[in-house]
Amino acid sequence: MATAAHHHDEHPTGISRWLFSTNHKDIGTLYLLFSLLMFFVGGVMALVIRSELFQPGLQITNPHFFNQMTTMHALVMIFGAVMPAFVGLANWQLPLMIGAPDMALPRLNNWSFWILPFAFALLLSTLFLQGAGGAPATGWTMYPPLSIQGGIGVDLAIFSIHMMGISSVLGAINVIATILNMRAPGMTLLKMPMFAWTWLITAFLLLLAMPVLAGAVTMVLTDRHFGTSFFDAAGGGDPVLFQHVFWFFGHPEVYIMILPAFGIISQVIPTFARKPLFGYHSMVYATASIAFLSTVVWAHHMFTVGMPLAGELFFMYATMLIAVPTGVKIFNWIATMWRGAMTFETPMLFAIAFVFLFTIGGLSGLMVAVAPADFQYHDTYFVVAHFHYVLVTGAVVAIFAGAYYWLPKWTGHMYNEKLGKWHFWLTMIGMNLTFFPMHFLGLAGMPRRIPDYALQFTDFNQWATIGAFIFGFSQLLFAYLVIQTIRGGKKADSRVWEGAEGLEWTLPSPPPYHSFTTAPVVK
Amino acid sequence: MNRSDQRRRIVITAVILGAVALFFYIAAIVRFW
Repeated sequence: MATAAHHHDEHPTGISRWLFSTNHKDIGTLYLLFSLLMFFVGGVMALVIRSELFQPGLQITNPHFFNQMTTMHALVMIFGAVMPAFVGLANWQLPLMIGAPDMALPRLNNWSFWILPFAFALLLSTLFLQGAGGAPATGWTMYPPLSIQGGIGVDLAIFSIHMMGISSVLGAINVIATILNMRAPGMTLLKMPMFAWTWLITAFLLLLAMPVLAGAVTMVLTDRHFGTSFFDAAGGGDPVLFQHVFWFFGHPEVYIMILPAFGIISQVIPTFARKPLFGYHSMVYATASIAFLSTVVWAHHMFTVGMPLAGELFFMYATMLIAVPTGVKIFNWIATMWRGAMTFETPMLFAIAFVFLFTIGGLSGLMVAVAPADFQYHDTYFVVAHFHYVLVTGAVVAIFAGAYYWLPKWTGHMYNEKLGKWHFWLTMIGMNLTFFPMHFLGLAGMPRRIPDYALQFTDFNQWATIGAFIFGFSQLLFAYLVIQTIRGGKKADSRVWEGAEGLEWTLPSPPPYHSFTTAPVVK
Repeated sequence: MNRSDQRRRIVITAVILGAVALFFYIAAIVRFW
């Protein structure tokens, strides 16, 4: 034992290393690989949707299967790809950034991860139950009465959502306990890197939001099987109540998927502009303000249900208010780049793309926040365009920025810069070609979640489908690049990037299996 | 902060946060506000 303790890289080998791991780096790797796998699974579903929509009429799916695809695409991408990617980045980076030896609750960390493959096996298994109604076809929002009428797929989806919720809540508890109790001596809260700040605030949002989703789907389950009538109008229930409870979760969820992205961008831009982040304190306060506001705007998702005018006005103005702290952030990122000694390696390209494209999503968000105008936009492709700009050209692009930024640190090898740039440009062309025409389709009145459309929408749909295939297949380049970087390549030194600042860059690349066993002192 | 103090604070933090999560779950269903 005594000799083993002196070996920094002592760890179990084979399958038990991964199954029983309590190491934040291994669990981070598991999360990231799982997320990449789910990104491809959800991506295939997106391509089924886009293939069907290449032409008007019904080609390759029937309407029920099309609805299963839209539902599953959303559930897989939100809970399987984007959220686990951020948790993976948090697992890898938070202890390194705050100078902790590991996460605060390593066994809980193992459990948080290993719940996920089972949750998604359960969810995806519904696709093989086509004789019993197949996968849930309710939309990811699972609105009753549809979700009360659906087949066994809805029940299995509810169970898997409970599992995902438990995983997320345990993960959030771990993040908060780590950041509050395990920072290196001298690292006060207001000296923490922005990524740690955004994750701390995100973890509180998770803790608030995920149990509410669990409560909502529990009530759907009891309505379906145990004779309650929470949402069933026939028994005195109210379907609109579900929408309120769901979006009380759903809107913070949106910010759960974007705040860590803000954190990544706030790490990447200063590195490649070779300047400290402009307005660090205002960034922290802006993040906290966004998180607070995200809890009081939920009903902007349901302007058309017939709320009182005062409700419409409150939710409209509260939503618009979010543009203020978000604008502070955009301003700070641009000010950080202003007169910086900028270079444009792949992480920086993705970060700059994020600032541009997320802003487009933010501005269309401001449009749909206008209650009277939303009566026109609601349930059209304009909304689909809006949230894909926020989630794909926003969150996913930020995840790529973070992955390229930290990949040399994790693997000890530089990735292939030329291939990274190819991936970047193909992704940019693909994703914008996919999602930008959807704005026009929505404004012209094309409804979402419908497998057929009027002839006048054909051209823009064909552009979107071509873009989706370019976007989808160019992700294979990323998978190849990651494998290539893990297997070898030019050695990365500890600092990796000339302008990188922070504790993680004081460790060798790759960092030892057990890092910061004696806490560093931060001045 | 020594190791055992740190352990104690971690456990207390985790228990409080777990209680908060449970509160929101129950609150969403029983709606006692």
